[in-house]
Amino acid sequence: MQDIEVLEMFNNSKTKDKAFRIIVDKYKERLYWHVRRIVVSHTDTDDVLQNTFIKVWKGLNNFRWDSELYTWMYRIATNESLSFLESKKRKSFSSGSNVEDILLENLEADEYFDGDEIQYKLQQAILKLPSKQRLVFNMKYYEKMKYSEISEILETSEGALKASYHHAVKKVEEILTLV
Amino acid sequence: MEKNINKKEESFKIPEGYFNDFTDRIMDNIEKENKKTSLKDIKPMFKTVFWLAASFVIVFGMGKLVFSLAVDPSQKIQNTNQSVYVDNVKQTESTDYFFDDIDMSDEEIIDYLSEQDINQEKLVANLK
Repeated sequence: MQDIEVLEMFNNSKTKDKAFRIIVDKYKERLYWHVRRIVVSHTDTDDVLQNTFIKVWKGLNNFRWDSELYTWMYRIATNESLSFLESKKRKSFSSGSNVEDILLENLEADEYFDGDEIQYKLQQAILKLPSKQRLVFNMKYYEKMKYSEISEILETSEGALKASYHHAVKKVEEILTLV
Repeated sequence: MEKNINKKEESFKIPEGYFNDFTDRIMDNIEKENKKTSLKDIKPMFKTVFWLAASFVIVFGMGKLVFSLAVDPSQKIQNTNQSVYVDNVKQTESTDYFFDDIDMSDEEIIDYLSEQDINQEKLVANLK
């Protein structure tokens, strides 16, 4: 079923819940992985994903097809993830931690991380990237998204995204070479 | 490097069956959220009604106070006199009512009383 048909169902009070179930079933895994790569820990991902879908539910009545539905949902998920990290940073302000430290702690403590040493070092290198570069890197490599799609989600020009991605790859390679 | 990253993707795990009940959990949370939202909608309504009622009482009270201060004091006195007058009229009417059946002048009454054998001692004894 096309997204536009599902949205028509959503706008009918009798089929609203059914339509939303279709949307959640269709996008939950893709959005899960997108959020997981930003916040790292599974437990935090679950919280952020729940909040993301609640926001989608609240905002879907006003959705006007200025962008694709999944682009709009990705944008909500991205903003929720970054806000979550910011709030975590504020909470651990007294300990002087930054986002990178928090994410590395999450990686070490996450019982659902099952990588070997090389994979762990690679993930560490990715977490050391500035947040924008890390987002672009993950979306391009892991999620195999087009620059045009990333541009819509992050509301950044394609040229700037290409530059960010180029810098990110260089930095990750450098970090891995040092290891 | 891409090969390494693809390998890395497999290092993140998800609890078994995590996605099976995910949609149900979301729908439950949405239901809870809707209840919270409807309560939030009602609370401001109660507040508005309360403040409207309180404002009305204050405005009404102030209005009454200002009105009572603005009335001319002579009108008040006039009103009081009117009520005294009304009381007097009532009393007069009631007195006239007692004497309506007695067709005697004051002199006749005095004569009548002097013909009676009434002295001061008798009157005092009757008062006791």
